[in-house]
Amino acid sequence: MPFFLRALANCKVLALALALLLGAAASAVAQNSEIYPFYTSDKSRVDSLATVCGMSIERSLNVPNGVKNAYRNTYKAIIERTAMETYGRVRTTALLDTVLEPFVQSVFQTLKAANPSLHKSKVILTRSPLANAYALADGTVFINIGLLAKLSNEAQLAFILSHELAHVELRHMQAGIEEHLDLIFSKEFKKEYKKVAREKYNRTKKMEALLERVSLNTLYHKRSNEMQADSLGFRIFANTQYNQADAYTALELLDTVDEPLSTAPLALEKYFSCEQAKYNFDEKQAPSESIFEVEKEQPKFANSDSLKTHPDCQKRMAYLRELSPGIEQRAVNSGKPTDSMQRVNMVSRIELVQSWFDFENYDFALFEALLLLEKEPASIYARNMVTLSLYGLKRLLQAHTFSEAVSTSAPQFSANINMFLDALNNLNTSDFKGFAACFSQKYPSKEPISEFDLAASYTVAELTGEQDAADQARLKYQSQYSAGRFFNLLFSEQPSPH
Amino acid sequence: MITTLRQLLIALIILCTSVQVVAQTQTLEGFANFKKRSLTPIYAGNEVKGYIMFYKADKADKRNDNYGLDFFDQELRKVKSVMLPKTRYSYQLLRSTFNGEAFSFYFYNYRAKTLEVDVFDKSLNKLASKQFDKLSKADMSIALQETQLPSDGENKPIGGLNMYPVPNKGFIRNTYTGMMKGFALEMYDNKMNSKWVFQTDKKSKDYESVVINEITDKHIFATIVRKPNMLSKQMTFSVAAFDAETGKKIMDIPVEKEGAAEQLSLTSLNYDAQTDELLTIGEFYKLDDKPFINKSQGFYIKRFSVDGQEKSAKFYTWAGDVNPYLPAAAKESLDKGFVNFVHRMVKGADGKMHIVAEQYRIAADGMGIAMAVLGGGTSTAKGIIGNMMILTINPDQGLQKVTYFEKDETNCMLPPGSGFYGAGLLGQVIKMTGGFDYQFTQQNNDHLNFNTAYINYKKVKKSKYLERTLVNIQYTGEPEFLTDEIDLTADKESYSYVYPAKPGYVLVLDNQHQDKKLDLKLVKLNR
Ligand SMILES: [Zn+2]
Repeated sequence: MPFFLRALANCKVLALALALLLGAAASAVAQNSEIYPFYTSDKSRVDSLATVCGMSIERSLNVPNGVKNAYRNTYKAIIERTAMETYGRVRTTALLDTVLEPFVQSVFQTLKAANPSLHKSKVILTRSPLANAYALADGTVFINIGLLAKLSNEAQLAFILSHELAHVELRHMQAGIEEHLDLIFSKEFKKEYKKVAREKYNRTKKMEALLERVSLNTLYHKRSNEMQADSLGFRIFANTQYNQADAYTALELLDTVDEPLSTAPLALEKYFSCEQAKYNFDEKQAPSESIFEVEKEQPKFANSDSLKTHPDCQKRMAYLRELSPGIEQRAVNSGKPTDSMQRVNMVSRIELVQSWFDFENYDFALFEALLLLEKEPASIYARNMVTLSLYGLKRLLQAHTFSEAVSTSAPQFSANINMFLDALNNLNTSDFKGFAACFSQKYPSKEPISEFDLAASYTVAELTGEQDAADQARLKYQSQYSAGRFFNLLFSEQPSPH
Repeated sequence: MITTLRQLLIALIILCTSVQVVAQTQTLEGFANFKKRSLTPIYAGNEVKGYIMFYKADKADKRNDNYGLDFFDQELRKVKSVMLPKTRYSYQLLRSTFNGEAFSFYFYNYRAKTLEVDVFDKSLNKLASKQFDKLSKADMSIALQETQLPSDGENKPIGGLNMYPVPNKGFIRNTYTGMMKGFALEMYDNKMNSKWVFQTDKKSKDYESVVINEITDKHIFATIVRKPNMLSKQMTFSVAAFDAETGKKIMDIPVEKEGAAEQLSLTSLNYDAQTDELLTIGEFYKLDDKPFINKSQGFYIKRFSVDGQEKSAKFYTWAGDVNPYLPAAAKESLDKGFVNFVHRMVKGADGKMHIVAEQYRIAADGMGIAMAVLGGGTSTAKGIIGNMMILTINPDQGLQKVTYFEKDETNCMLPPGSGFYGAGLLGQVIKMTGGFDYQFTQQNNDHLNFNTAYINYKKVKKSKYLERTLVNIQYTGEPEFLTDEIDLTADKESYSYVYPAKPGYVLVLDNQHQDKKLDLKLVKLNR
């Protein structure tokens, strides 16, 4: 690396560190080491960003000339739907914080600066916990907080963004829509479709078979698109000063990205059972076994990979080895976590907990908060989120929406998540009292200072049935944080229906 | 499932970016005429282990339709769809049941007048099919009746044509012989090979019918009801046992002692493995009154040894024993002349027994009756449904308490002529026609907990829709019952049905008429 670039890189690290410090200082009122998730009651910035994104999608997708009406109308419906979805997604999930967003923007700018010929594009950081990134036709690249929490260094992020930029450059979304519509409005397909639609007997089965063929076709195209995006993405990435081998470590990481940050079983007893309210998690029944012995019928194109957020990583790695011989060896000493990225990971994890919580996924909010607490036992934020999540779960039970909002264990989850979910699904409404009492005994709250402290102390008092303390905390919160982020959750009559 | 081209056109484009929550819900599309009986819970022991949705799909060929059976597990995850091609417009599913090894589906073909059973293994591959033709007139009329009665959503064997599960071994089917003169029991293995047949004695002067109450490894315990002639309202009840291997009747004793001062009905028969005894519960009537026809005087609990010896008998009168336990709020209902209908008796592992009852009475339309008496019309009586109560009996058979659950009164229509029926029979009619607010009782396999569900209907001003609240009474071994209320109020777009579910849950099915959509969700109960 030339000297001036290394200096520049260091400069950026410094800038980042400064930003982190400032961000932390800005949000943490009392504990200067404590990081809290970003919040503003002012939604105008995110609203206008959403409007811009929706409009730019509409502009970037154009119905080809000379197509039939049905084709045109379907295409238009797709544009409308995509624009609406994008607007909604940006509006509800875009994260415009002072730490992570500037960091992602700076990496994105580095890529653009090194590749001046690229089309217009922008990046949006979302609060989605799904470890994923994707690009839309208008050049908007989305990266989720769930992915940012897991990357080891900046270079990996740069490669992932490069890959998405390649999708934009290659017009994959536009091509995908057109290919799909070309197929469905083709003479051959229409003929076949009509034939099946006219079938007198066993029509459902035949229709399913036909539609599966179309899906297969689309999937095939999607897979070949990934290879193309890796190829061009790698070139975009190679134009920067980032370590090229981190393209490989990024794919290695994506291959196991669905695993939680820790796969060790959570010691729930340690947190929620105590002398005054014993709760034996092991004694509780595992969910009862199914009486059915039916082999899940896998679609023909599915493999063990199909439940993953990022399938085919092994194939993509093989392809990268072809593109850049020796990358595998070079990768061995790459992908090491950097200090600055660990800081980004930590802030991301906090945003991740908050995101699960804000979208009323109290199951995963509690899981991630406990993981965080395991790693950072002194984290006041993690403690607060544990009690707040418990409170959220109890409210779901009382509103009879628990089984709609709380997951059951499933094959796509790791063993420790499944154990945790089984434990949650075993809980009775009356168990929360003891849980809250034991947890607050082990992690006694000091004089509540931040909004989170206050909200958490209110929920502990509510859960343990200390009505006076709850009333006090409520009044204090309402007077100090009338536009606070927990106002609706804590003080509305019922949790919002699902 | 993607079923239309339009859905396909759009679905594939939308990015899959949402978080996958594995919820205990299901949405089913394309159900235009949903009936409550189309969905049946499936049990292993007392506990719900899944559901089966029965529906007519598309045409299979010139003569046959595809009838669909969709299987869901206890967490509402779809397991499999099975298509059964059967003659067009002729099939009704009478019963679905699971014996631990195999599922059986019992159909009535009302055109060909045949009964048919399809058996599947746990992988949902077909094991066997069998057709029963040359049905007795009685079987035909009962099968037809069954298809027309509303379902209680519980899918437990009651009167009528049943296919009883014999744990891990097969199934027993009952038939009515002669002009309902007698009955037969036929045992089949899982491949529908006949194992044995039991038939009532043709020379018997009584009319006999049977309900199987419990099946163990060795025995089949059943209630046999006898009448001197078909129209007689005089009934006697017997506790019977059959050898599970051979079908031989090895016990048949009346619950009523000879020369007793009252007449007994038998509503519940349980085998108690701990004591190797049979526990019978029923109601008792004045000697010249008729069981089920007249109003009962109270209820009784009797214990029998498996070889037919009466071990104990205890009687409880409504007026003398039960009513003093009722709260002041209940007195008014007694003054109004409400009587109790016993829905279910639950015996817990703690030795306590709970008797779930609901009040009802008849409000006769005076004018209607007068007209009927003059031969100028039919009587129009309506049933009025009152409060719920649970009677708790201690292990020493003392009445511990009566827990009273007040609810809003509801009306139910009764068939013409009902005004002349006795109170007991009217209770049976109300039960059969789905007039009670009681829904079901689910007991856990460990017999430590149970949940009884009923719906409280409340008139709401300025709305033609009744406010509907599903009330779940839960017994958790604690001294007091817990109740949990779920709002089910309907509107013009949707109507909700409730079904039993795995322990601690109920299933709520929301039928969205306009979208032909069914939303199913498991609701975890607060306790
Ligand atoms: Zn891609």
